[in-house]
Amino acid sequence: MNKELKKILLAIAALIFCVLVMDFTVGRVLDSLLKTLPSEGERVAKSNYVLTKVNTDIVIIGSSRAVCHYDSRLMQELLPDKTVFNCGVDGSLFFFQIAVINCILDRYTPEVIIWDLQMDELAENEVPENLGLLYPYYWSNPHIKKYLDELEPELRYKIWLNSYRFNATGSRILRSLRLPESNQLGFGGHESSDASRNIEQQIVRISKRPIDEGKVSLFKQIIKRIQKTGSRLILVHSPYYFKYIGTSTTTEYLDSLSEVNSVEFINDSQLSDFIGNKEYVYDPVHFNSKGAKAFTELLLQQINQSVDEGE
Amino acid sequence: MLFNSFHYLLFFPIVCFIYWVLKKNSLRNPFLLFASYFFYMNWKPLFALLLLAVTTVAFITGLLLEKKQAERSRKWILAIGLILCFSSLVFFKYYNFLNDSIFNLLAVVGLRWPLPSLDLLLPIGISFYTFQATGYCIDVYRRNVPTERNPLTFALFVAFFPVILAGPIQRSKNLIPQLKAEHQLLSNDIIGGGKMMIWGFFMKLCVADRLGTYVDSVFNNLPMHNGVSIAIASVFYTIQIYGDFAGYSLVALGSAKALGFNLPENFRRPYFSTSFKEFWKRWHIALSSWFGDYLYISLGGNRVKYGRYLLNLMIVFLVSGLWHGAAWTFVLWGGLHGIYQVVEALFKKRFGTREYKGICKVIKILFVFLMVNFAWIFFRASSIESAFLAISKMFTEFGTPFISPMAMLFGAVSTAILFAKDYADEFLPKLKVLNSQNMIVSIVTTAFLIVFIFLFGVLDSSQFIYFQF
Repeated sequence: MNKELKKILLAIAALIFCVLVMDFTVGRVLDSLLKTLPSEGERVAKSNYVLTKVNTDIVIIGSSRAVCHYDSRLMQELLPDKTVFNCGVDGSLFFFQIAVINCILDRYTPEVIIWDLQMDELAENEVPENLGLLYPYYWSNPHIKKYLDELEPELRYKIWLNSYRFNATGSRILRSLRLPESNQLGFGGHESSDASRNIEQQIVRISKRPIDEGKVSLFKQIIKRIQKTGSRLILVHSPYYFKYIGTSTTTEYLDSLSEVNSVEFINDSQLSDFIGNKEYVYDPVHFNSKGAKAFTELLLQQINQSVDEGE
Repeated sequence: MLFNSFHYLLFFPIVCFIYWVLKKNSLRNPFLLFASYFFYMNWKPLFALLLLAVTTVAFITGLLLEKKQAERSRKWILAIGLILCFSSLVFFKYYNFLNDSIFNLLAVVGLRWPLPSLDLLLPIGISFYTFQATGYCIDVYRRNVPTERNPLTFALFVAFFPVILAGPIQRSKNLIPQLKAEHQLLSNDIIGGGKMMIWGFFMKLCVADRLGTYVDSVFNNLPMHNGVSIAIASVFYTIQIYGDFAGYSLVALGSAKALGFNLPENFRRPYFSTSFKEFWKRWHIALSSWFGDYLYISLGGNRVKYGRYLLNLMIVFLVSGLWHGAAWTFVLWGGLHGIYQVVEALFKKRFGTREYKGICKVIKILFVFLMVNFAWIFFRASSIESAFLAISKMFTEFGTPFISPMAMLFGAVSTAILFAKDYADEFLPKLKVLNSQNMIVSIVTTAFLIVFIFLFGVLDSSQFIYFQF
């Protein structure tokens, strides 16, 4: 063999060996640290909890809007015999939320699942959803593996590197460990600020983004699964601060679904008490703790009312 | 296909392997040309026709320039060749800018301009390969290089995949002879090229893209942020654009090196410059030298009256600004750098050139960094109004800055690693870690970098900033 070629092959082999050793060590360390994370606070810690441990009677699913808008402490006070956990995760979108619900149903059957959906939740994404928060569970959770393989076919090759598996989460896991107990945020997964901001009210015309058929298919499957287990599913559009004109394709779809499949859908997106209410607003898409309390009380009334009507 | 995509991670080793398996240039060059067009067509296949058209025009221009001896005819041939080559660039990149500018100008005096704006998609790399092809035409006209008669070699010179998307703009005198030479497989090329690529990926994914998340949060919502956040974001952007473009250039040069091609460096630690002139000798060297050779010298360079020399400097930087983007923000950015150059030249004339050492050198470096940083605000801002809003807030609105722990913490760690390497390369050239002669040190540091990139890099295949130009 050519001397130069031998040198190249030797260097490549040594490099691959070194990378594999370092990568293996990183994987082992982060895998074990992941298991020791606290249940709340930082989003990786929280997603770890909602994917692997949550066991309350009522679970709230959604994005940062769910995190901010559903006051689980208040809910638990108003429903003393029930336990509540707000499983909303900052920055998470539809595909992540589907994974959360499936993981919960794999473990147990909650009594009520409140799923906060944004007004364009079922529309086609402008940029692909980042599912990095699910990667650490690729090898340990067969359901997540199957799900990710379908959504991101290239992942099955990339995920062999532990450092890639922990790309979105490794730094956050390390950071979570340094987070003092007092800094862990919220109660029962709820987290909203006490601050309110002077944000100018706007009127926004809703753009009709086409519905994503892939999402709809998954959505139908998960509804079927929830109904089969006997959990009560409540789909919610929580309030918005801005005034929206028109109806989104997602809202239209949810309306039709509630009529045909008798799925409960509460559309509070345009409640007049919340539109332009500066006491409640934290930023244009999130309410503060005062807004969360007001909305949670109202939602419980609406849910009780629908139970009464059902009876 | 982006360098930081999964596809390139598959594409490049396959191309490299086949290239070295093929022993002769008669096989290697057609294969490289095929690979280059495949690489380019991965984005919008139709735009390959534009690349082919520019290649054809430049090739024929070269042949005609060789045939004709009369200066007047040669001038005409060059002029027509350049107009044809630049026409697609002007149309795709500047049509809307010119149209809107004329519209706004006429609106001021109450006139209507009837041409509508067009929904045009800028062909990726067009500014780079057009400059590469036109540079060849001018070189042939000046008789600096021989005419290339082999269409295949010439097509490969224009479309060479490591440099087609965002340069570095290559000169025919450097690249064409290498395309003709028979390359031997050398371990230094493969290992050295690989290390350059890994360091380039580190700069892009761990430094630029990590800091970019903070920069985007602030610059995309300027009214929501105070001056302190904007000042932090502007410094981050200064580092981001260096990491992004120098990182890209290193991946490009490393890819070429692994194929046996030695291309000149494009960045030489520009933020250690002690003057603006030096900065442009270290930043985007390929473009600076292109403008230097083909525009500045054509205008007379510094062999003219002093006032004209200063005007030449301004013209070059204004055109350079316009080359970067069809917007007034880029023209202002170029104009600012032109003013820096002119003021520096005037100072130099009045006070002479001094060698700075110690603390004075540090102050000079910081001063140049801050002024360059200030100019980048215009480059990053979405409009002139946004740029002035950012600047006015920086000096009037103080308060607690916006904190993004992930971007700031891991961006800072990566920036510290980058700074340490640049500092060592600049001031302690004997200290080599990544390029250590000790095989174990070299391999361990490279492996560490790879794991670090996969663990902390932003791996969402985001575009390189210079791809928009």
